[in-house]
Amino acid sequence: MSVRRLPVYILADCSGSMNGAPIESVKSGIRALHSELMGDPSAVESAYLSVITFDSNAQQIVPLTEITSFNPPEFTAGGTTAFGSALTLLKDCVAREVRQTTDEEKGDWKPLIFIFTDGAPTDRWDEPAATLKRNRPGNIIAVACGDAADPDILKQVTETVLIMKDMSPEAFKQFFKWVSASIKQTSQKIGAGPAAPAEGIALPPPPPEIIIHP
Amino acid sequence: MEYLKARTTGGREIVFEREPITSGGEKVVFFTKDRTEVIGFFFGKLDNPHERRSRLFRIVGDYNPTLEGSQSEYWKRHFCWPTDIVDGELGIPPDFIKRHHLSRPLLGVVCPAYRPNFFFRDKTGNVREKNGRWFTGSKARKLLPESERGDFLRYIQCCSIMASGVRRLHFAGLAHSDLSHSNVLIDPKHGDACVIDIDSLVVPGLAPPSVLGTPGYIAPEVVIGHALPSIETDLHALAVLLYETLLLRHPLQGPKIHSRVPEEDELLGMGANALYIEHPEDPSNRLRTPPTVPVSRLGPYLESLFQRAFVDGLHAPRKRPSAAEWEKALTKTLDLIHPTPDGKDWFILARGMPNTCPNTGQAWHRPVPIMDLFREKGTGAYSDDQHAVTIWNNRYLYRWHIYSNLNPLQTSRETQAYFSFHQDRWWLVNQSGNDMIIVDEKEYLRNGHAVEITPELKILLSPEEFGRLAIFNFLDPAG
Repeated sequence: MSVRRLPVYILADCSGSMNGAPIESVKSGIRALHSELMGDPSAVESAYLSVITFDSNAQQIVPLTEITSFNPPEFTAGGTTAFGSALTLLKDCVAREVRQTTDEEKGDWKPLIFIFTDGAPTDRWDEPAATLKRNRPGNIIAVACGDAADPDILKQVTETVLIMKDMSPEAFKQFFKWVSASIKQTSQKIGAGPAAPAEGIALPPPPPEIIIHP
Repeated sequence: MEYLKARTTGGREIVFEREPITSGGEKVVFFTKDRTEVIGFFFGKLDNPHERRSRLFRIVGDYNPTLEGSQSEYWKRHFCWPTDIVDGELGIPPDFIKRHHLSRPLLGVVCPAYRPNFFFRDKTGNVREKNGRWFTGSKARKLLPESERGDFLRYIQCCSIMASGVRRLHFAGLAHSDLSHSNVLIDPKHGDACVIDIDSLVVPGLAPPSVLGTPGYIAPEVVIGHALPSIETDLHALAVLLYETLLLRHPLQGPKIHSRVPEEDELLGMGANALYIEHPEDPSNRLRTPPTVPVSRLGPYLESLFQRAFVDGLHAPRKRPSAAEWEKALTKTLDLIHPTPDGKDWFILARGMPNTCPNTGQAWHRPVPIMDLFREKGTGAYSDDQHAVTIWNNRYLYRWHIYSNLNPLQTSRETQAYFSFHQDRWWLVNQSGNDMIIVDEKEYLRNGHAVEITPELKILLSPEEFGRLAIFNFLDPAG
């Protein structure tokens, strides 16, 4: 009997405005996240990672992969912000990759999904956002990075929206540390009452660089 | 690197690193400058800071088994027991407190750093703590170097130490409240273990626990919401921990589906509907592929305790075996261990058990001698101790075998006798420094002398008070 899988999706904005330090910070953040999870045997057993990037198009550059086989991806920034396509792709990937529990087989945990974007969408996003919010394919945490991102758009996707004004390498580093702590916590401790795991997840407090958008 | 300073209630100045080494559910943890200790600060909002504070003081003080007593050195090795407390923020910069969201008023706890054998270098070159999960998870295990994996004998020794630690806590009325594979370190290379995260202990007479535990180890009655962590729920967690360490699978994680919603399925499967995967009557949660090593291959003592823990006591906490019972059963099981023919691993071999190693398939094709132990009950009468010893070439006997009133923890490890297989015959060699008695021949077995082991041979291992009687026999190679 294998352990129930915890699918983790990272949706990274790779539009032109992310060029330079921000995109490098995202890549090193994913590397750090992977190495952090490799150090946690519970995460090694259960966590699976996927990376979806979006610029003028959306692509799943790493399909859902167990931690021990995951290779941190290379990608570059350029183009526009196909946020809507990314949300649709996410929905398709979750539908295809996340195992549902049937009467015979145990399925996966509800996925943890981290979305971060630094600008306004350049494609049609409202319908995909509404679909995601309705279907709730997982616990979605959306992060608005920098000044140009609109947290209210992200609110159309999920209730959990965070704001990271500062886009310095240190801020990204702290963000990915927090992502890793969130994954580890999900695979470890129940903090609150017995009903906690059924309704949402108890996230650790975010670093000071990041504030929760009410 | 920059360092910070904190003053403890014990009057010491602790110099520690600015960057944390790890962060748990309640604390963020820093190395001291010399790295012999760590200091953990509570973060977030503590439910009851006053209670937390007084609890820590009790743990470091009154309830601390590492301070004095004949076994304090043993407990220092096998507990990571807090040594000191930081109470208040004197000298700690406000930006540091803010950055780590530390609870105010500041509360910190100092613990010894883990011993060096509780770290390993994984295949990617990173140094990791040997938390128990590395050894029991099938994927995590693959990241361990071969040399760290240890053999079956060492896993039983690790378990015996864990059980002794929990027994010691319970003896003082303390409940750990969060026993899990993340809160024990094991070193199967050397048969060593250490119980960590002592600061969440539930202290009698103070407020209730602050954590429910770690999923998979939380007792069904706590999952359901009918109880809070206690000594009884520790006994569930301990049984899960021991089962996982010895058999590398979870005792309740089987194929049975309780709900189509995974979170609900998990709550039911670990709570109201929890069912042992090796339940003797109810097969509905049994693994689809039967395990290579069923629980019965752990020998009679452990099999029956697991039955009590996961059948009789799963939903009836009072029926669960105590930590002392586990410790005793593990110690006795060490006496049933037998090397594989190639000498590279061990398996349990006792009356009524197959003579093949379940992991390697190797079998013994010659009769294996065993010895049953009896204790004197009034003059001349003996009662069966329900304690057998499986014999192999060069097996030693210790004082706790010779005398019925001793246990391994309290006794020196000097060899009292050994067994030898020489020219196709088995011999017992007395090295106890005293005479043994060959009962049927009414002869002494003098110190340094040997007697051939034959069926029904009776040896009084010591004529002194508490000296045990041993009766020898052979296990048929056909099993």
